[in-house]
Amino acid sequence: MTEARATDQVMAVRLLSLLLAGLLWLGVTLEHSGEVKLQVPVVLEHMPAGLLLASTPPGVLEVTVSGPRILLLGLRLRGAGCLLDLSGAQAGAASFSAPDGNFSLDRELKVVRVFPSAIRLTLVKAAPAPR
Amino acid sequence: MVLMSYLLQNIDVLQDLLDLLLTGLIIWRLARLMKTVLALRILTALLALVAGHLLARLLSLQTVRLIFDTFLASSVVVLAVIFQTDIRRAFAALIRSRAVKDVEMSDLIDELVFAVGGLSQKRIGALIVIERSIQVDSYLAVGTEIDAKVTSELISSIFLPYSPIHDGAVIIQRGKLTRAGCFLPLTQNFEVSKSLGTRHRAAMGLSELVDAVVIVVSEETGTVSVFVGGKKTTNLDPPALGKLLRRLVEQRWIK
Repeated sequence: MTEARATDQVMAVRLLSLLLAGLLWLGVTLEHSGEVKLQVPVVLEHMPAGLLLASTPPGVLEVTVSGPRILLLGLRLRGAGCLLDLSGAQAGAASFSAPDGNFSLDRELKVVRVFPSAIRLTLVKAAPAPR
Repeated sequence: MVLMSYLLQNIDVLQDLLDLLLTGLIIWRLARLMKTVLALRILTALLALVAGHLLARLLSLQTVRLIFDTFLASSVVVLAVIFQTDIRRAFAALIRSRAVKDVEMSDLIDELVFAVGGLSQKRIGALIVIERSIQVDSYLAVGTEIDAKVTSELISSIFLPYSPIHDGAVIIQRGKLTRAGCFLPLTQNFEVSKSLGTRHRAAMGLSELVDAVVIVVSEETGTVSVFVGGKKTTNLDPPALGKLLRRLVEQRWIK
């Protein structure tokens, strides 16, 4: 091995040590708790047959989520959605709160605030189709 | 100045920077306890594991994360088992007192001087390479691997004419006799006298390529020469050889 190569290897060890330290530090820092505010689109599913939506639901919810920063970063990258299951809904006015489960978040993430806190929908029976 | 005032105003940044630097320093000091090539491999493996863990966590890949976490958690034990010899050597080097090291250094040179003196008297040719900061491995051809303590008896017996490995160089690395019967690259210097034998040409050739100290005992005249950096110091008697070796070979190269 030449002297230059030996010096290069020592430099590489220094660089890798610093890189590893950087990654470890990043790992520790990203595990600290933080909060993030997201615009979450509302998706309605399982609309009962024969019912129609009479009111306009909010397009997005403003959701504040807390948890490890690395998961919040991942959430920012992936995005989230609010699924509203209307399978048991009946005609009339109904109010849906948005619990954590609706956002399909990681178990370590918690929803701190949701605005609006409840989604109000009015469902009406659809007129029978003319024969 | 602007940077200093910024850092003082944002003590968190200063804390993070200190945290990062100290972690880097600890890892680097631990890596220095091992051989450079080994340290490079371990650091690369650890980097891959930590990076994999972070990526899996970022992308919420639960199964991949489980695998990386398991590897990371057991990496300390796995590394300790795989590299137990190196770790033991590193700790031994760490706790060994300087006095003991000096004795070892003195022992090594005394053994070499005694062996060379004996070979010179009997006019038995010898070629001994003492590795310093640059590794000589890539310049050696053939050779028999030996891992032995340097003793005058061992060196003398290797160079005895009926020994199957007498026709080559003995290599001393980190204070141990690691190889014998090695062929060295011959010098390509055209200005060298044609009367210079193959053993001397080999000694000069290697010393031109690396920083090793090469001792040659002439079979014809019994004279002792030392080659360093392609330069030859000849007609050395045992005290002069000992003095020269103590000047040329530092403690860090024989530990």
